[in-house]
Amino acid sequence: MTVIFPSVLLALAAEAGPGFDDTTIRVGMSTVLSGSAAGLGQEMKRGVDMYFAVVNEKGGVHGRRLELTALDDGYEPARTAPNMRKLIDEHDVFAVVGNVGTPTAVVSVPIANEKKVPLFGALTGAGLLRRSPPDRYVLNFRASYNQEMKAMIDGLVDEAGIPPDRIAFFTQNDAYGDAGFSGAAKALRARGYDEIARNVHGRYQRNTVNVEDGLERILDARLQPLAVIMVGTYKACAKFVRLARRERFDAVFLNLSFVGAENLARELDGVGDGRVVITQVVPPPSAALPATVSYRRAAGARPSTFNSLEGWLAAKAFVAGLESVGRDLSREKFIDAMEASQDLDLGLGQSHALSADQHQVSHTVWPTLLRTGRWQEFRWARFRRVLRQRLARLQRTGGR
Amino acid sequence: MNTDFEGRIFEPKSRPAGASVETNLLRLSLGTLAVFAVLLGAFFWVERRLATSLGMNETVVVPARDVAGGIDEALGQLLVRQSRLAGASSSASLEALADRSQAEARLNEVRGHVGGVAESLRKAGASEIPHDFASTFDETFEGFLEADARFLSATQVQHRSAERLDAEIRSVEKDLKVFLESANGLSGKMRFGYGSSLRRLRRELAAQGWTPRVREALREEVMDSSNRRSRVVGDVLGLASELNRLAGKVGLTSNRDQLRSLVANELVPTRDRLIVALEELRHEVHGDEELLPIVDRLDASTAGLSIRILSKDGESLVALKRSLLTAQLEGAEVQTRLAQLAGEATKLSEALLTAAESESRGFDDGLRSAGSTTRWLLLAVMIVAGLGGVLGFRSVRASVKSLRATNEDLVRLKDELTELNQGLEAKVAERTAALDAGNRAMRLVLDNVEQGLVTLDPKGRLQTQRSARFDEWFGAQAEGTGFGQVISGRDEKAGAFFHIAWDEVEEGIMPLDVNLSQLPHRVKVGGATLHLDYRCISKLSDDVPDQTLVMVSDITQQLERERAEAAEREFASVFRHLMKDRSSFLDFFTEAASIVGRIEDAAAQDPKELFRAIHTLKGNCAIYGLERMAQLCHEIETAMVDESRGPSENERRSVTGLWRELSHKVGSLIDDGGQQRINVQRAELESLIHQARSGEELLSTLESWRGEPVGGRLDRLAEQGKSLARRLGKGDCEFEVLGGDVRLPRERFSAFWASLAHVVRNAVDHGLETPDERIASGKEPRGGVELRVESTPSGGVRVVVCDDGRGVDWERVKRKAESRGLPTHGPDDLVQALFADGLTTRDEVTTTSGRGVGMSAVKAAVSRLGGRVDVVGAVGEGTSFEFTFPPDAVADSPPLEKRTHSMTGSIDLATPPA
Repeated sequence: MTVIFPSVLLALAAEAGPGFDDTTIRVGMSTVLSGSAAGLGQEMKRGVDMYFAVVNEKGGVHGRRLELTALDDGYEPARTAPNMRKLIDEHDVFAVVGNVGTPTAVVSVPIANEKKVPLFGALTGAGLLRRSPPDRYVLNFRASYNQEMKAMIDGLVDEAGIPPDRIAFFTQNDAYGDAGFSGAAKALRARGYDEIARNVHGRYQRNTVNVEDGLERILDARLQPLAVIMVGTYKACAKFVRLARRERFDAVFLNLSFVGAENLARELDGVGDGRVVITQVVPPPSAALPATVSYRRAAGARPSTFNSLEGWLAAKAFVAGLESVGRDLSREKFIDAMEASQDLDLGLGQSHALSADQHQVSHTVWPTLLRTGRWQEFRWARFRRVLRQRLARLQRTGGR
Repeated sequence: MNTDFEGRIFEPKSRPAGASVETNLLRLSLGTLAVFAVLLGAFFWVERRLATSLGMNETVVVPARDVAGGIDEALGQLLVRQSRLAGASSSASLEALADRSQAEARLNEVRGHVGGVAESLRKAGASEIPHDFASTFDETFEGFLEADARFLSATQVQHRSAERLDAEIRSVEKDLKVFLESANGLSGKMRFGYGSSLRRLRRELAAQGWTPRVREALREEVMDSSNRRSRVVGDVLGLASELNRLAGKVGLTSNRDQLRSLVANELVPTRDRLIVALEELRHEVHGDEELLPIVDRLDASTAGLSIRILSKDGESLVALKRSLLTAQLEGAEVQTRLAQLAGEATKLSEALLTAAESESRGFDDGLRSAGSTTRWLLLAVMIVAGLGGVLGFRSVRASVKSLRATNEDLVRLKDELTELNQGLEAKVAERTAALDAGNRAMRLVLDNVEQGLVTLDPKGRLQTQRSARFDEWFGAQAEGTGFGQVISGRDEKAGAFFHIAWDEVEEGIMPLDVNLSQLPHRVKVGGATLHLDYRCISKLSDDVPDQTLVMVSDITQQLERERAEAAEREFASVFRHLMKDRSSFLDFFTEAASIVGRIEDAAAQDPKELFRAIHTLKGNCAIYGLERMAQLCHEIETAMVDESRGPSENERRSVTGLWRELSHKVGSLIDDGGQQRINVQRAELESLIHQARSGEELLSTLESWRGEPVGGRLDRLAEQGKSLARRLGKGDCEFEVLGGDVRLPRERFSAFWASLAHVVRNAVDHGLETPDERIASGKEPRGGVELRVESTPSGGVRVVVCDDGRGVDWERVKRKAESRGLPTHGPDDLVQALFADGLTTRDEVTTTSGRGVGMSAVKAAVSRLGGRVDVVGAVGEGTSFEFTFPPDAVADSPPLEKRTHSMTGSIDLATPPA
């Protein structure tokens, strides 16, 4: 006894508490609730809150209520680290669910691994959270940026019939822009196109809306692009589209999900109707799927947004994992149960399977098109005819 | 001795009893009494002598040593603290060192005794202690403590200023970054605005016929000042980054004069030029509601920056740096003063010690003389007693017994004396230990200085004392190890160097200063670079040192700083070139990147080809201000020639590594689809407008625009040639450029243009004579070079580089070619030889030319294009290099379809050929 006692103390000091008791399972979130990106975090949190409320109303998970503690990190990694430690050490959370952003994940992933606390369903598609083999304590809900890029490239080339050398890029001059661009390069290489360095590529300085230089480069390209893949923030992207349309530049403008659909639509204010695409990692909230129907019912009069739907779905996957463990809960059992899920049904009209080698619930990308101010699902082939015509016209007039 | 005495005293001597016992007894008693009295006297005398000596020891010598030890200890503590202060890395660590109360307490304790000790030493006859010793001591230490306090505050000021300066530099840099960002944004907006106008124009042209409105728009847009505009933005950008560089330089200045000169000669003029450029910019964007606010912001930002960098109040960069330098200067002054006072203080403590030492010696002498006096006295008494005994009765036991008792007393006395003596020795040992404590204080100093210090004997071997730093760098070395050997352990070259140079020092043939300066001053230890300084402390003769102090300091960081500064300088120069002539810089950059690619991929290559590549890279980088790259290539080239081999793996890696670094930096500036632009001169556009107005066919003109006008290339070559001629002392040469409006395919000819620089360089370096030589041979003093491009009758193009210099010495070429086994039968063979690898008629190699590599690169480039080379000219009559290209080398891709209105190529008026 005298020998064991100190070692028990040591173990308690090094590892987190259980994260739950007889009546409650505590869940944490370090996210952006203030500053310019606050919308992302607030919506994500709203989705998680909504789903937890539904579960708690029905008596919780095996008799335990879910309790969410969200701390604001302002999208600054320097604040994420203390938040994560506070959540784990002081609030004794069972898992951290629905964090926002790649730079913040840079610090939260190592902490989750160190403390052996699950980091579940973060709002980022970065490869950092999708290592191979995966980190045991990192589980994702959404498809990766690379998958989004692949969906764009495949849709543009295969279905809309755009030659790869007619795809232009407009990216933010930082790691986010680089990640997007390299994802596209990968997707293009996979289909045997190695010339991405020759595709016209405009950039703009992060934290500015100085898009003119990059735009001019794209407008000036040797081969007139038919599609522009943009990796940037909604303000810069919206300005780009506005100016490009003013220059009568006719192309499809494509964005990653991270750009923020509602913000982009608001900023565009009708410009680029039928020409602006966002690849989404959740279906449009208006879709007729069991999951979106129950989401809309829970949202009631409040607006339906892509981000809150993502929070809702991530929370749903999380709760499904908890359910399958049973009353006798632990973090390790939760991870094991998640890895053992074979046909997880979240009401998206498909079933999901995870394993020790595969920690991502959904791999589906929903391309959406801005039409009359709303994001709607569409088929890439709808661009086929108009782009073909334009291409033929360009080729007739001297190969440009 | 005892046995001796006893033997003499107690050995019974057979004597007949003559005189009466009483008389004998009386005599004996008297004798005994006399002996006893003498012994007693001796005993008291010795004891007194001992007592005075001991008293002296207690009251004078011991306290004097205590005081001296205390002085050394306190001084040592303060010196160590100063050394740590000087080496402290942050003001936080200064706080920890600020407290000196311990040393002060020790000093005050000592001070209380100084007066008394000095007085008693002087009374005891120590002549070296002056009357005013105590007051001198007080003065010195007051001074020392005051200087010490000043040193602390100067160091604190230094740290505070340095930290504030760093923060200020960082924040100025941040502001400048924002400035550059918005200036860049402005430049993008202007470019976009211009492109937008042109596009609108094209649309309208395509949509309708030539209405007066369109013509008006055409003139308006094309004649627009966009050219000037982008030059002005370029100026603003260039000057702002220059300001950024200078702000960084403020942090690196090492004295006030340098700072003053930097402010007066660079910072203020640059700031003023920036203000002027902004004024011009404001003029340019006049009336543009989107751009004006940006210019306003840039203006405000410049004013703010100017204040933050230059203003005289306390918080500006320059003011902070000035106060830092002042504090540093004061710190250095105080340090000198401290060293001086420490010397004086040490002298005082030494004086005390010496006096105590001599007193103690007197005391030892006293003891010794007391001891020997006693011994002699005892001996004499014994002899007398022995004689008395021989003379006295053998039978008188009582007297004998009493004598024996006396003797025993004597023995005890002797023992006591010995004991006393031993006690004294222990005391002396104790005092010696106290002295050692003083030495330890010095050791502490050596253990904590930042420099490596060691002294060498006349043979260049290590002596005992050296600082801990030295051992850290060179490992613990036994005394007497040769210093050369020690260095060799770390840096073999420097070690060998030292051996040779030290021989000179020992021989002393040259003046000592000269010899010492020959010793190696740089040693590489692991990743660090150490600087060695040699100073002669004492001399054997005028030019031969007895003891030499070696001071070793770590200059790694300093070198790092210098390197960083060189990189910044280079960046600024690249920036200037880029701003001055963007398109030629882009051409250079693309070409250089492909050369680096070839160097990187060396496995598949002929070493000669590689050598040519490095040579070309060197020349071009030098022209465009990539000094580090040019220097690196020159070093590699020299090594390759010296060791006649191809470039090593390491060398190639260093080239590609440096290139990657450069292109990373430069890439952020150019990041441009440069190849996709077309250069059109204003005159050409004017004539196009004219053609359009008069309804002429525009197609052929437009087609020709696909090529690049060679004028820019030729002008550039001419400019390079002119500056080279000036550098080589050939005076102002006249360069004539003809046929600049001929257009040639850009990409196909870019290698040729790059290599043509070799020909121009050769023409200037080898062809042209100096003005004096020219006058002597009856020519105009100014040399002339003609760069000409002309169409040949067959539809090809000829490029001619023609100088009026000394001409090719064909005899010499022939000899050289023969020596290398090349054919030399006709003029053609000689021309071939002239372009052969490695053939040079020069006997020396310079960074300009002379390796014979450049010419072979030209030949290779020309033959890749299917062209021909001719060399015309004889000795004294100048040389003409003619490169002729067939029509298909010059022809462009298939002609445009006849749809003039669909012209969508970009017309970049921003950078016309200079």
